[in-house]
Amino acid sequence: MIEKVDEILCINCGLCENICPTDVLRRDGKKIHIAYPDDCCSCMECLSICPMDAVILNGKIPRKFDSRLRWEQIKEGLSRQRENSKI
Amino acid sequence: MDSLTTVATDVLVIGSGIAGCFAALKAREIGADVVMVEQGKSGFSGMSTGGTHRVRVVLPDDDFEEAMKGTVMECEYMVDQDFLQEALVETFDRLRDLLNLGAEFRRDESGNIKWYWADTMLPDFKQRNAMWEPVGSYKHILKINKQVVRRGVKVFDRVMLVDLLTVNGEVKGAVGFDTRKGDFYLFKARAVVVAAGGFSGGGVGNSPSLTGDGIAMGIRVGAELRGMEFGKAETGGMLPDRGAPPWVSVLLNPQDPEVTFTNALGEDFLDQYELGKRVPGRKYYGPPYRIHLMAALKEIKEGRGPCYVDYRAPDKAARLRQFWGSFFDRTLRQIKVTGTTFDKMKYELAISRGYNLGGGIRITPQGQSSVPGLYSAGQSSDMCCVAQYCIVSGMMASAITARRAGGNAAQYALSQPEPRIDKEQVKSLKRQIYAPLNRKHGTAADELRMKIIKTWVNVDIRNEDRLTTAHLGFDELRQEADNLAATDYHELVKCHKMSAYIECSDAVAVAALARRETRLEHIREDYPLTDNKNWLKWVIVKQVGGKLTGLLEDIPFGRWKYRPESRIIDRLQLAGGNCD
Repeated sequence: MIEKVDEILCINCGLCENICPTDVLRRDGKKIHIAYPDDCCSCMECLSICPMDAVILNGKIPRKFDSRLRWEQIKEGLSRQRENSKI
Repeated sequence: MDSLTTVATDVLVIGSGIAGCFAALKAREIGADVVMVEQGKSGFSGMSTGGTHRVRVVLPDDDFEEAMKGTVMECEYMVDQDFLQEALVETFDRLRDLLNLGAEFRRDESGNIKWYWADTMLPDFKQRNAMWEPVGSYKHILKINKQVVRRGVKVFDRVMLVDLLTVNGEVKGAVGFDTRKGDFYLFKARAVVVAAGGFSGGGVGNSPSLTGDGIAMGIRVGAELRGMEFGKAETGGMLPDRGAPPWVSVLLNPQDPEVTFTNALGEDFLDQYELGKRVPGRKYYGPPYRIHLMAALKEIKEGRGPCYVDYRAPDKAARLRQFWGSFFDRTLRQIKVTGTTFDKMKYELAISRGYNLGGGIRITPQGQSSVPGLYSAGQSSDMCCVAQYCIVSGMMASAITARRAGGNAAQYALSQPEPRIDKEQVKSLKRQIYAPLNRKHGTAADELRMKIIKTWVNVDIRNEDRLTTAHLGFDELRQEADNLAATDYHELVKCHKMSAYIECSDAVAVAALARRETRLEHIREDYPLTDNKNWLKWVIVKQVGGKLTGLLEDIPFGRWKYRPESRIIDRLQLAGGNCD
């Protein structure tokens, strides 16, 4: 089950909130917060899509940040972050 | 809540899984205007992102007759053979479609699709399978979804459709709401394809998904359901102290000779039965329900229950990884993150195995339901009665039924005039949809869900008494569902899911009560024989006078090629099958 989104690492790009199949995550102002933790189905798509490894499930962070492998993801995250900050 | 968005289209596709996408693509190909509505996020939700790991394919050079015969036998003669005959030929085309749309299958060193051969009930025939690469991933469906958008299908995400609209008994659209903002949506359509997924008893893990929303929509407009008794909700997987977590079933195979089945005394109870014995070198043990579950039921009846399935074996983890490699990324990650270890994999054997429901909205081989204007495909449909057991792994059968439903829905739609919606009907449905928000004191959706799961335990071992208790229990819960309360739109979604869940659960109980024999996964404690003399029938469930009723219908074997040879079969005594 989803535990938390690291506030320091999170760049508020909203990718996780956008894809969550059970609609657990919400963007609240400048922060992503876990609105309905009980409904998380542990599909871990948020964890895979997060460019910053900010999503933490069951207290474990399964991989290290590797910018080389996930450049596309990070680019998308940053462009979304810019869009979001305009609003 | 007060704002209204009206969308008019030719074909409305509900659901954006593999079935939704295939239906939308085919309808678009014919030239219809198509709208696809997804309750979650298209490309990331639905059953197709889950555990499916293979598709069965019959290539043009393969032995078609053997494939057909084996498949009919595997379905225990319940499948619509008109459909199957055409569907098996289509498997190759749908595989090509999947590849063209960007889905990936496991390949060998030279770049060709690597075929896996599965044993079947026919001793000399092996079935060709292609494995997804990676398994249990949203990557395939995401690519297919992109193609759908590219070809001009309008997609609405995060809109939950609750009820179908009818005009003079014909389905002409659907109403629902935005799951975040709560806006009301009215979709006017000339034809509707329900491809909203199956029913898996409360879904995967914690989340209330796969609650049979599409099937329930069909029930409410009077559509017939078929094959509901084959397959049960996965109570074993949902109760915290019982059963395997859902993802375990993907990688652990009960047919694996290493797996042992023990009763409460620790005895291997399968040893008593010829077909259940674990003989070294013997590969095919048949589907688990055929012998294992029958034997387990007998053990429980004679006071030696509960029974367990034990997956533990030395080096299991290493061997599984070697076989599966990296290609079921999500399952491996889930195991890692949840801390599941292989040395603890001993689970209580639930007699209800079915995480894959056999039935749904009854469709013709052309994908049409019993209500004009309503088409269905994929897990929401009955796939022409349990066809998904065999041609399959769901995905292939979904693709085939969806393409047919999409095509026929588009043709029907183009011949229909602009629908005239009854405003009063829309108003009353809108009131019903938002009703839980107005109740201050009522049952919460999660609370009701636990009650439903507890009622499901009665369906776990099926006999007249227990099924009647379950049926009455679901009836009571239906009243309670009228008193559901929601605090926000997210809760409102769950309320409607619970209502659908109760409808589908009751349909299973009604169908199981009607079929007084044992067949496929429908195992009756009081009627343990498979009776081909009296029960070559379909059980049709439909709403008659506001109540779900089970009706029997003879299967038209007169014009079909394959008929069962033996009349009455006792699975536990058979060493060949016949005990007439």
